[in-house]
Amino acid sequence: MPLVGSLKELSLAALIQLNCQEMNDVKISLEYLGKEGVIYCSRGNVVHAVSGSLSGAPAVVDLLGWQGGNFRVQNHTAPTEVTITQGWDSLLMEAMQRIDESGAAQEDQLTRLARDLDEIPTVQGVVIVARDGTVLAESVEGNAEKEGAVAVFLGNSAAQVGEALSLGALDWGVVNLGKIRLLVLERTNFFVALLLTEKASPALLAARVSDALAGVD
Amino acid sequence: MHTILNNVNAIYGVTGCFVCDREGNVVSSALPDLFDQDTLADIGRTLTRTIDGLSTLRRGKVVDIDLVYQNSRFVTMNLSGGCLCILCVRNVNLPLLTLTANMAVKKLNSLLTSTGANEKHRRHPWRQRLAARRSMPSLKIY
Repeated sequence: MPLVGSLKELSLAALIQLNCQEMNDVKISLEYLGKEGVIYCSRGNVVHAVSGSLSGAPAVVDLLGWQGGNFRVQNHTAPTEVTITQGWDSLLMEAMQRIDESGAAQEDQLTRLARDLDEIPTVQGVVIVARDGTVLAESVEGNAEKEGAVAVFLGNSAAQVGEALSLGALDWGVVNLGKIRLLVLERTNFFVALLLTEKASPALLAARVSDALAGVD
Repeated sequence: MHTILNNVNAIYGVTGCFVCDREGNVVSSALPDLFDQDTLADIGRTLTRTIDGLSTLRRGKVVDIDLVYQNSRFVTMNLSGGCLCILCVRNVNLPLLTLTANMAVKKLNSLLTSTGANEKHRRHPWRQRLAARRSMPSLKIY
């Protein structure tokens, strides 16, 4: 009988470690937000992995980077092919190191982006904030968390209005608070909020920011 | 109120508009029939909550919110007793829309204020009596 569960309760790293130490021949099937992946363990090692178009060790790195999802472990399943030959422990160590590096690289990219956008003459400050309100990068005088909260709040409301009226995805939104205007752009994993001067054109800036954001998602 | 909304609707590119009170209830609507009242009420509640939330977060008054979607634009003007919501095409003439909407806001504000005052008087008859007494010429004994 297959073992089924959530990756939030039992991490993929723990699943791999457990099955390799137990010398189990298993197929671990994974799914997260419509994506699917699979890892085969055989005779105490990870021998094959697939995630989308990736296979082998890069697929393991990709799967270990998922923020959630569900797993299904089937026993006594032979691998369809062998794409990984290194030991499970060194594979996990390498994968974790790569995930840390890519996370740091994205953080650097966002910080650089925030600084670059803040240099636009009609922009007074920039905050890049995750959907849960965590400030990922900022270049603003004052309280970045407060500006980030405004961005998340507006983004969520805009999504509700868009859904109710079937208006499609939000391109950008502006809150006019008298002397200050806040431009908010939505991306898959985060919101970008720009504090604008009175002379700024939100439409032009939104287009410019969208160009700058290409490939950052 | 409907005449004011029709003036906004007259701008090229405006699909329709409606007014919500502070509780999000639709007070008046000039939108095509394909938008049902429940949907508009949901949107009204979302937007009044958003305006209140943003005002609290920023400790300032929200003047308006402009949301630009793939093919449409949704502009919300803050009123003293609710909000005016305008649905239009993405490339609407925004300066013209803003000008007309600002004029509409002034008229709607005074309408909503008087409606609110009447409502207050209805709930509290003593206010009405007090107002009537204040409007009476004072008696003088000669």
